[in-house]
Amino acid sequence: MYKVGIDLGSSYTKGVLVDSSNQIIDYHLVKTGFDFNRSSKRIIDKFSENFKIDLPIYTCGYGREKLEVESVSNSEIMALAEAVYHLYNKKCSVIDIGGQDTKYIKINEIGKVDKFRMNRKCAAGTGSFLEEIAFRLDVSATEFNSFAEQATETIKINSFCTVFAVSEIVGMIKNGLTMPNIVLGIYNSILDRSFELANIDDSLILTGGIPDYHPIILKLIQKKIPNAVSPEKSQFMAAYGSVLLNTKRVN
Amino acid sequence: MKEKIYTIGIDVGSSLIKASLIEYSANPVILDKRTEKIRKRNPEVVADQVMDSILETHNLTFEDIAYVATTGEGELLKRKKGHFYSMTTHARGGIFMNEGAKTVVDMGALYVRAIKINELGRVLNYKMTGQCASGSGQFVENISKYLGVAIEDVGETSLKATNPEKPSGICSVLAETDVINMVSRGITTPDIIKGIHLSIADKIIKLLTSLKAESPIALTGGMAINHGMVQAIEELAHKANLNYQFVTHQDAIFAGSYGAAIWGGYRYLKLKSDNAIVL
Repeated sequence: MYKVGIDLGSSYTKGVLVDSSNQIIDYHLVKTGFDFNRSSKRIIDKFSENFKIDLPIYTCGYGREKLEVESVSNSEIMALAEAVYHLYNKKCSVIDIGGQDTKYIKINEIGKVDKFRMNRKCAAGTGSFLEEIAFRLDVSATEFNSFAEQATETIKINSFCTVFAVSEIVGMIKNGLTMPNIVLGIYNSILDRSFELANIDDSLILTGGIPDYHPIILKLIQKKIPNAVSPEKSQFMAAYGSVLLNTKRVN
Repeated sequence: MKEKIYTIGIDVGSSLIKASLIEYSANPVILDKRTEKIRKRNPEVVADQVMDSILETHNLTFEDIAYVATTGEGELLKRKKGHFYSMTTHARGGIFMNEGAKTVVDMGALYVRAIKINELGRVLNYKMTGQCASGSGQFVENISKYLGVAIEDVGETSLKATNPEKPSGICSVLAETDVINMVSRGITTPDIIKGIHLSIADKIIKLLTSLKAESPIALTGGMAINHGMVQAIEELAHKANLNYQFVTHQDAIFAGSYGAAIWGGYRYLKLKSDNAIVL
């Protein structure tokens, strides 16, 4: 029997399929769009093609209470902390860079959440920042990563606000600055916002959609914090954690 | 016969160029006013074209113009004689259109500025939004685009609201998702737009109270001709028991351009009289 965890985020809905020994068997990702039921149904249907799924579904995230299917909902912070502790089994700090928010979670020695902070009122420092800029410049956000790899120097983006940053960047392009250097500046701006959330120590674990698609962000962080790590498929951590929270509770 | 003094004011904004031709005197007369979208072109080229077309319409040559004044982002235009800061031009333009105003609120595409002025239109004090686009015209424009409402119709649409729904955050970028959510929850377009207007009005009222603004307050800039926006500001001021009287003018979007042209005329005469003394 297999369990499904679904993280209903504001931009994407993430699903994981977990076996009885709590190992992830499969991942599936769909755009959230306007209907949480539709996006989660697509995930459940996809997994049901090959596997027999146990109800309830374990959910977390922004849209977790809107499902029609039988489900148990969890806080995404608890879920994220659970998954990270399950994988690393140590006291650590987590930075989760998602589509519309950036979270900082401090986990203690026994896996409990000690501290939590998030940025939720502003797109600066989140995936939306990248997406909006990519949209305005008419490049795909995934191209950004390879751009930044070619950067020769760092440019500082002075604007805090995404809307203003776009105007600033358009001006930079006009003044002949190259895309790779500008894009590196964009990534650094996201990092600055993350590091404003808390004093981050050596035990940093980076999660969320951004490190998955923009691996350069981990490399940039490692310049400051050499021991920082990011789990594979870090976008699915909260979905995984919501299954773990409940199976462990039962056991 | 006294020589006529023609001046041109060019206000270069983030998306729109506003230009005007005036006959300068103690009572300046507006002879022409134009707006032109920049649309990814070089603002300098666009401004030059607008200026040429104004001159042609009035059978004037560039030499007939006593002073070409720029404001906003127009500092780089080569044919200008002088550049004035937006704060001073909006103050002057605001009081020109709304006699007796003691405060001017310029609601532009990127910033909102609240400016306290004296009876001559000089700036006494000001407060502006920084860092964040949440109170700006761009915000309204983005949302209207998502909702498929033409920017000219946003004001009228807002007036039809019955139960306005404010976005949960203030960020212009994140509001996009919020609006998608509202649409899926069945909130009507007027209610969404009114909610956005209220959230901007909230910021403006905060600026005004921290400035200790005095009434009457002239609203200028692109958003001042949006009735829905003005009504939202009035509503919130009333709710906060602030005894503000708001005035606006159909040419509100030209405040910067008029102000620049008027200051240009003033400076032209001043330079002339200074030179006379030297000679």
